[in-house]
Amino acid sequence: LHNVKYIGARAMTNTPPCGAFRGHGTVDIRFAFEALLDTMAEELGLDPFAVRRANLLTAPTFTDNDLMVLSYGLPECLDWVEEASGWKERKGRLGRGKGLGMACSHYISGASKPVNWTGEPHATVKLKLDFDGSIVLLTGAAEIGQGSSTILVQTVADVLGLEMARVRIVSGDSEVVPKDNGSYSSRVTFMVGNAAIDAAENLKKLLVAAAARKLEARPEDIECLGELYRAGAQDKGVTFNEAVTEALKESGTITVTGNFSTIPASHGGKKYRGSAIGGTMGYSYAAQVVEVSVDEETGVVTVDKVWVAHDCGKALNRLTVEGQVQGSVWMGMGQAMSEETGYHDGLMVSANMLDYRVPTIADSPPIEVHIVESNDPHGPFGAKEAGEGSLAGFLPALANAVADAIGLRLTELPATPDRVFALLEKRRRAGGSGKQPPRAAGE
Amino acid sequence: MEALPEFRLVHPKTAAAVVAALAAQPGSRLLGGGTDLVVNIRRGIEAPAALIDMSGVAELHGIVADAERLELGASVTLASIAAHPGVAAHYPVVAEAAASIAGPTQRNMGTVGGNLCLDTRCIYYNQSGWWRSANNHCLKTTGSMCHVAPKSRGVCFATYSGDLAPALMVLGAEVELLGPEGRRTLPLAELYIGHARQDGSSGDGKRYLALKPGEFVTAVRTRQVAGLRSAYDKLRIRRSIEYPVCGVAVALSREGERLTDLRVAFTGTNPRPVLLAGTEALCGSPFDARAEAGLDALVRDQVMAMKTTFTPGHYRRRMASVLARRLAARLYAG
Repeated sequence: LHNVKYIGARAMTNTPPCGAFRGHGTVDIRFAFEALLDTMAEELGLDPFAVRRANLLTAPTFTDNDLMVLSYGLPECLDWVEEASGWKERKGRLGRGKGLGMACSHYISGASKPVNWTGEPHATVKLKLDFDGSIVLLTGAAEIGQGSSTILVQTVADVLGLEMARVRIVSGDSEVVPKDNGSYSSRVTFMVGNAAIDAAENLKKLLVAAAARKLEARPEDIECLGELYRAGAQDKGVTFNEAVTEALKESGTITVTGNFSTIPASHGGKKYRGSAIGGTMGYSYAAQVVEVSVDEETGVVTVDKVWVAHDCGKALNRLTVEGQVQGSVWMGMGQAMSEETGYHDGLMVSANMLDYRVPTIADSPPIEVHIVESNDPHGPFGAKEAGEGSLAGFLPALANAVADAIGLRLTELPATPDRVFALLEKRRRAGGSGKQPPRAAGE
Repeated sequence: MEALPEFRLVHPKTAAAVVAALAAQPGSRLLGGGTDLVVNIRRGIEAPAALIDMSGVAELHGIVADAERLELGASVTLASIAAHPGVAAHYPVVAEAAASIAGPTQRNMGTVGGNLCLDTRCIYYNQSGWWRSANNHCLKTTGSMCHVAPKSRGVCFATYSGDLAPALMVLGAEVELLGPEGRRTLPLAELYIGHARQDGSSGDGKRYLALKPGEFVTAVRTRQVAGLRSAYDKLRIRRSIEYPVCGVAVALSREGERLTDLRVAFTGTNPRPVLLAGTEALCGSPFDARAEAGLDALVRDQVMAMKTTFTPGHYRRRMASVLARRLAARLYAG
C-alpha cells in the first residue's frame, strides 16, 4: 500500500466543553473512512469484505506512516464476522427494508510518545510484601468499572504463581499509590500491566534469593511454584511463607517497584506530523457486522443483531474482554442511533438524560463477541487493548447496513427516524421508488 | 438540577381534605408520583409553597375494569393499569398506553391523575433556571415571547404528551372533578382546552386544563361499547423512558365490510390531546385507500406539531398520520 494522503483541518467551536470520550478521535474519521470503502466496493463491484482484504497488512511491519505493527489479527476478525453473520448467504437477500453492513476499526494500546516529557516511565507499580505473606499492589490506575484492578491483580498473581487471593490492590488513592497517567487511550492493561509484571518479577527475584539462602542453593537453581520454592524436583523446598520470612528477616517489610516505558521505534516517525500522540506499541483490531431493519414509512431503524470480533492480543480475562467489547459496540450504538447535542442560540438543548438519548437496555440488540488472540510480543502476556477498539466500527457498519436495506447512505448521524425519513422523502419526491436490489425469489 | 426548595408537605386522608388543603395552602400543588412535578421543581420551573400528597387518600385508589365499565381512581399507578388483567382484556388501548409510558420506575410511581394532567412540554421550557434565564424565559413561565413561534402573540405552543388521555378519549371517557363547588363530570376531551387559537378564545400550552381554581381530578371512567376494537401505538426514539414523538389511540367498529365507528386521538403533537373530528365521514364503507386518504386529510387539518421537541414538528405530524392509518388498518382487519 503506497497511496496515502491526509488533509486535516481544525475548527474551533465554543459550544460543547470538550474532553476525551471512548474511541477518542477515531470515531468520526472511521465513520467516513469505512463509508468510503463501501462506496469503493460498490463502484468496483466488489464485496465489502474483499475491499478490506485487499488492503490488509502483514505483520510485523511498519506502515507507510511509520506505525509499528507487530501483531495483526484483523484477517481472523473478518473471517469470523463474515462466517457468523452468514454474510455470503444472506447479504442482499434479506428482503426490502432489511440489511447487513460491515466495518473494521482499530485502536491504540496507550500512546507511545510520553505525555510528560520528564523522562519518567509510562507506568509505575509498587508491590508491598509483609510478614503475613500478603502482597499489596499499589497503583494509580483508576478502576472505572473496566476491570483494571482485576487484571493487575491477576498479572501479579500469575507471575508469582499465587492465587489471586494473596494479592490485595489499592488503586487510585494518591496518598499512597505511585502516580499514574490515567485510564485513557486504552493504556492501562498494556502499560500498567507491563509495569505490574516488572514489579512482580522484581519481587520474585527477592523471594528466590531468600529461598536460595534457606535451601543453601544457587538462586538460578531455584524453581518457583508459587506456594513452594525448591531447588530441583527432588527437593522438598520451602513454602512461600518461609521464603517471605527469610526475605524480610533483615529488611523488614519490602516494597518493590516495577516500571514500563515504550520503545522509541513505536513512537512513529517525524515524517508525518499532526498526530499529536503518535503511535502505540500494540494496535488492536476489530471487525463487525450489523444487521438492521428499516421501516420505510417512519424511518425507524432497528438494530437486530451485531457480530463483532476483536483482536486483543491475548485475552487476560475473557469475561472482561467480552464485556468491554460489548460496551464499546453499545456506546458506538448510542452515537450512531440516538445521542445528539443540539443548540439554540449557543445554549445546549439536550443537556439532560432525557433529551441526550443514551440507549436503554430495551434498545440493545444481541451482541455476539468473538475474541481473536494475536499475541503481541510487547503486550503483558501478549495482551493488547480491548476497551475501545470495537466502538468506531459500529457507526459505519450501521450506516452500511442502512444503505444495504434502503439504498440510501447516511452521511450524518445519529440515524434518528426523522433523519432517515428525510432521506426517504427526498428520494420519494425525486420520483425514485428506492433500491430494487437482487432479492431472493418470492420477494 | 437544583436541590429542592423548602415546601410544606400535607398528607390528607380524604378527597374532601384535599379540597380543604388546596383552599388553605395558596400556591400548593398536588403530588401524585412526582415523576414530572419534582423534576420541574428541581429545575426551578415552579416552587410550590406546599405539596399535597395524594397517596394517602384511599378513595382515589379504586380500579374497576370488567366487561361493563372501566373506572380508574386518580391515584392508581400506571404500572397497576398496565398489569390489570381486566384492563388488558376489555380496554386494551388503555393497557397498551399505560405500558408504554416512560420506563418501569416512572410507571411504578406515576398516577392516572398525574398523567392526565401532565404539564405540557417544550424544549424552551423543560430546561434549567439558568438556561431559561439566558434565553429570556418564555411565555409559559415569566417571559413575553414564545420561542417556538415568535409571532404567536401571546399563545403558548407547549405540547401535551400524556399517553393515557388519547387512549381514554377514544373510549369516550368522562373525568370526575372535585372542587370547592362540589363534584362535576366532564367528557375527558373537554378537560383539555389547549386549542391555542390566535384570537385568545381558548386555552393554550400554558393554560391547558379546564380545571377551576381548587379543583382536581378524582377519577376517570367509561363504559364498554360492544364491538369496539381499540389499540395504542407511539413512536419514540428510544424504546423506553421517552415522551412520545407522537402517540396515537384508535378505536373502531366494523360490521361486515363496513367501518361503522372510528375514533382517533393523538398526543405529543398539539398543546392538547387531539380527538380527531370528522371521522364519521369515513364510516359506512370499507377502510380502504379512500378512507386512508380521508384520515390523512383530517390529521393534516387538525394535528399541529410545532418545534417544541428535539424531533422536528413536521415529522411528528407525518408520523401521526402513518401510525393512525396503520393502527386503523390493523384493527379493521381484526
